[in-house]
Amino acid sequence: MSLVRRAGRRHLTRHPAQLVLSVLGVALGVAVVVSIDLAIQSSREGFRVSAETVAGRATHHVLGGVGGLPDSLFARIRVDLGMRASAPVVEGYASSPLRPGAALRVVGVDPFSEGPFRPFVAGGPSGLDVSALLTVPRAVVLSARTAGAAGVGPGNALPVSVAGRSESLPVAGLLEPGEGPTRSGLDDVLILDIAWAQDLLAMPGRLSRIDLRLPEDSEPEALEALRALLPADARVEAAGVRTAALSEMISAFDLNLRALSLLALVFGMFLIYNAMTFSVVQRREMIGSLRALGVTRREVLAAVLREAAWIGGVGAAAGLVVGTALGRGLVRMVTRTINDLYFVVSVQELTVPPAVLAKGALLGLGATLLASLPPALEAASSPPRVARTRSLVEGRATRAVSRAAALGALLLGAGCAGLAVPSRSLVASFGALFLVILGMALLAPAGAVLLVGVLRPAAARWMGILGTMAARGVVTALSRTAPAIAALVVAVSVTVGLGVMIQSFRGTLTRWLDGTLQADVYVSLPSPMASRSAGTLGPDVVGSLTAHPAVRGRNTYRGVEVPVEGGILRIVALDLHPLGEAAFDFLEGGAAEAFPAFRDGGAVLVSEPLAYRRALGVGDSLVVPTPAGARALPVAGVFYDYGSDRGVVMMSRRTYEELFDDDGITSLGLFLEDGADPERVVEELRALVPPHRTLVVRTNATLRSASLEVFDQTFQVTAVLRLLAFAVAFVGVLSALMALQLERARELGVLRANGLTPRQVWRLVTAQTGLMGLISGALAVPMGLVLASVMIFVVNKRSFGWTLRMEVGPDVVVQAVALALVGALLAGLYPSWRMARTSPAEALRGE
Amino acid sequence: MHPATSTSTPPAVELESLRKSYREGGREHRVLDGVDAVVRRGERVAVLGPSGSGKSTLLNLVSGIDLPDDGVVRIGGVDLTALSEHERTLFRRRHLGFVFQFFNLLPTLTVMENLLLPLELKGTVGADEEDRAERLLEAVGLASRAEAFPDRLSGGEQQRVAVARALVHEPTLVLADEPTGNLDEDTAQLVADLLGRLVGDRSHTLLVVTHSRALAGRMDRVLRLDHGRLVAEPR
Repeated sequence: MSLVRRAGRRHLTRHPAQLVLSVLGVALGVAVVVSIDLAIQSSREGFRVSAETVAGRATHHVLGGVGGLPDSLFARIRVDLGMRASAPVVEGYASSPLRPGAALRVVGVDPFSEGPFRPFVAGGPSGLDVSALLTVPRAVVLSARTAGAAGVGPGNALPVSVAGRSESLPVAGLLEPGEGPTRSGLDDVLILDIAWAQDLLAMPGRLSRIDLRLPEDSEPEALEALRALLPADARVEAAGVRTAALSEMISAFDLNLRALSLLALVFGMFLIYNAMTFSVVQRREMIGSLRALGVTRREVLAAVLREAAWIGGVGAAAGLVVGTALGRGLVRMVTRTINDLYFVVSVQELTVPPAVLAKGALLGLGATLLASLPPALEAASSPPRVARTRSLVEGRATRAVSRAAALGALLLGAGCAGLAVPSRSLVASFGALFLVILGMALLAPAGAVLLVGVLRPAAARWMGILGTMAARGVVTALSRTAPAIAALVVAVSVTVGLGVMIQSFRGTLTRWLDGTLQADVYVSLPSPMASRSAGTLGPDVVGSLTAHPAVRGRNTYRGVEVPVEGGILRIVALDLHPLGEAAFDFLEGGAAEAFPAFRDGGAVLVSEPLAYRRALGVGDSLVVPTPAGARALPVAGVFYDYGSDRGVVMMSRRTYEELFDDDGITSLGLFLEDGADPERVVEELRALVPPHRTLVVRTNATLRSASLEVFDQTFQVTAVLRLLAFAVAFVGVLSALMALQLERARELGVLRANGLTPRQVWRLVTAQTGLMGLISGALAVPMGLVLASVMIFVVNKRSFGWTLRMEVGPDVVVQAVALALVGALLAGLYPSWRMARTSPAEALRGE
Repeated sequence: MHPATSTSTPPAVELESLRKSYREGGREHRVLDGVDAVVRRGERVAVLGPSGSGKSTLLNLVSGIDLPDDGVVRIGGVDLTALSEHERTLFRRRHLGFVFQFFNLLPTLTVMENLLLPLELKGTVGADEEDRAERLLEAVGLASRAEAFPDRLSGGEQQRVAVARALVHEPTLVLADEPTGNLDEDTAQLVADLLGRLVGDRSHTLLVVTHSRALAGRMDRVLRLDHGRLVAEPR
């Protein structure tokens, strides 16, 4: 190893705390990025593999509208069109007490048609006993892994709940496909014979889809013949289109998580920048000497970057290990959110693609080198003067603060301008957001100088000369304090921004729930997916519940999803009690005009996210596929809705029944007589439910808290990220200020030699770190609010289409200042302790 | 051969009409105002002058660390003012040795490693060079401290290491900036003796800037910086 390199390496190892914190900064940043990446990739991969496994080798799918396809269509396709490579499929979801929290995908197939599609259920070489599947009522086969997870085997029965009905499914056999996609693709999949599945899912005579294998050479003709045969609301799609469309649904969610995870890396970069700047500042004299001895600028640059690469490499390696472990926890949260809000996905194991690890490592290394570039260039530009006065360095730093502030204002302006440009591009939004963050970071040191001027008299009054010294030390050592303050302010302001964003979201949701949940009691079917349920309540149940003497009125809801070009359209048919109309808060169109058109004119109400995505407004039309063909329905109003970011279209029950010929009811809202006790009525209503059925009957308050619980679960990942960002910020505060104070050892030694007691040294150090913490906290609050506004009004709107009201609670502000202050005070402890234990002579002698 | 190099044996140092000014609070302060001097090979020359007279500025120009506003600096016939910053740096590592007032040893390298650094930069570390470093360390009386780090050495010891470091790579010219300015009288004398002897033994050229008449008195010739110009000091 060259001596220049050795000198640098020894400098790092002589400052172990600084080194460890730098490595930790990179490691945490990389860990967060990698864990989010792994969690998202695993969820997407789980979904893709599952979809592909269940879809098998189909080239096309025929999909139905509300209620699926008639059984007879399959026979016509097979017989009339002669498409022998076709297979009917029925799909639905169930839950089981033996697989708590998992949505079990029920797939009904015709084993005799399965050969070309899913050989693993076609019998023969797979060893599956098809006869048991056909002859034993509701017999099910499932993968050995799923059976193991549920603790059942052949001969046992798997208890399940389907649309509120409890059933027991005998296990007829286990599928043990080899390694590869099929194996994980069958996780939480229950396969039944199609007739038993139709019975189980209450879909008599109906199919969810028909899988086809169309020969390439005659594909266009075959498709033409098919389309001529299909009902008006059915469509034929190439395999993979639906999977891709569903996967696309989570792209905004995915991008937001990734952007948040990148923030952690940006924090890590600040940490590195700070550590490397410090390391360079500490070695000013040494670099000057080396330059005088003939070490070139390029060699100095290379030496500093080599050190950074070493830190980045070790940090990234540690980050990959921690990130993979963290990913295992996050994947559960991510899949739960996707299950709740988007589509069903089962992920039993973390997929760790080497590409993700390589990307994480490169990102960590790249971020470290990028963050180290400015200090490395600063070091390389050091003139080879050996007696540079400190005032010269600080003079340059003071001028740099003004220049940084000017550049910061420019970047902030550019970022704001970027955000103001009307665009729907999320990448552009995040790009502009990062410009805003960078701009604010560059403005922070100038803000600190101003604040020190304000706080200095108070510090002097409180602590006398020590207070003056503490305050003055911040501005007279700007070469060292400015990067620390900038890093601190950014880290804390981002945690403030995220905190306010979550708080505002929750506040908006709470208010929306208060307005939306007008009924006193809600009745729905249990579902493994929070925001949707399959099946219907049945007229008998609806009749007996609404006949309860305490019930004076009801709303009925029917939620269905219909496949449309490029995705799925969620339709809710409403039969509203007059009291229920108050639940709508209109963004566009008023209740007075909207409801008459909605009730009697065949008009629909669309939610804000749907209106945003499809650029719909009052007076426009929404095309809805119906059994009688596509129908353009006028939009009478756009309402606030935070239930789904994909959006929902509401139509009156009358319109829905006319269009879809479906009288099912998915859930009920019941209005009680004045004075009725909702809790008691709920108990009495539960008693009216037939014994073989399970319904969720709950009060307004219980539903409200359950909805908020789903929200909290949804934001759990964000909260974890905020916590991690908080941790990185804390490490940043600690490392920046600790290094700063340790570097002052000689100066403090002089003070000790002049009679300052260890206690006074402690007070001086603590006062200065505390002051820097306070200043950073104070600057971070307004900057955090700017970030929160951007996230709430721009990023959120462009990602999910929601209008949120910004709410700033005192706790977020207090947390921010406390983070900076406590971190700063803790950072002062070690240097104070060390200085108190070191003799002044030693401090003066050593570095 | 570099275009600025002449074919006859040139003097060690040639300074022609050197001018250098600094701006101070909007006013121009001329530090050097037409410095002319020639130092022959093997000659030991002292430049005297009070603080602020421009001694260090002159040394910075001679070493190529800084460039004059006007004039020419030739070291061994090479015009430093015609070289790029990178070329001047490479020139410095090959041909110059430095002794600083504040020693400026690298704190994270041992004494021996500090000595080997100029050799490594020059790209000539071999067994012979290591022997030479050891002999020099013996010559300055610090062979037993080869593995010590500089912060364990006294000021005088550090400066002795610095003297050895300045000579170890056989430079054309040794530059010393107040080499005894930070030492007590006895130690200063010891270091001055050492510097004079070692430079003399090896026939190196030495240019010392100092305000110490005692140190200047040991040199072959003494120049004085007077109002930005170099004038001969009568002995």
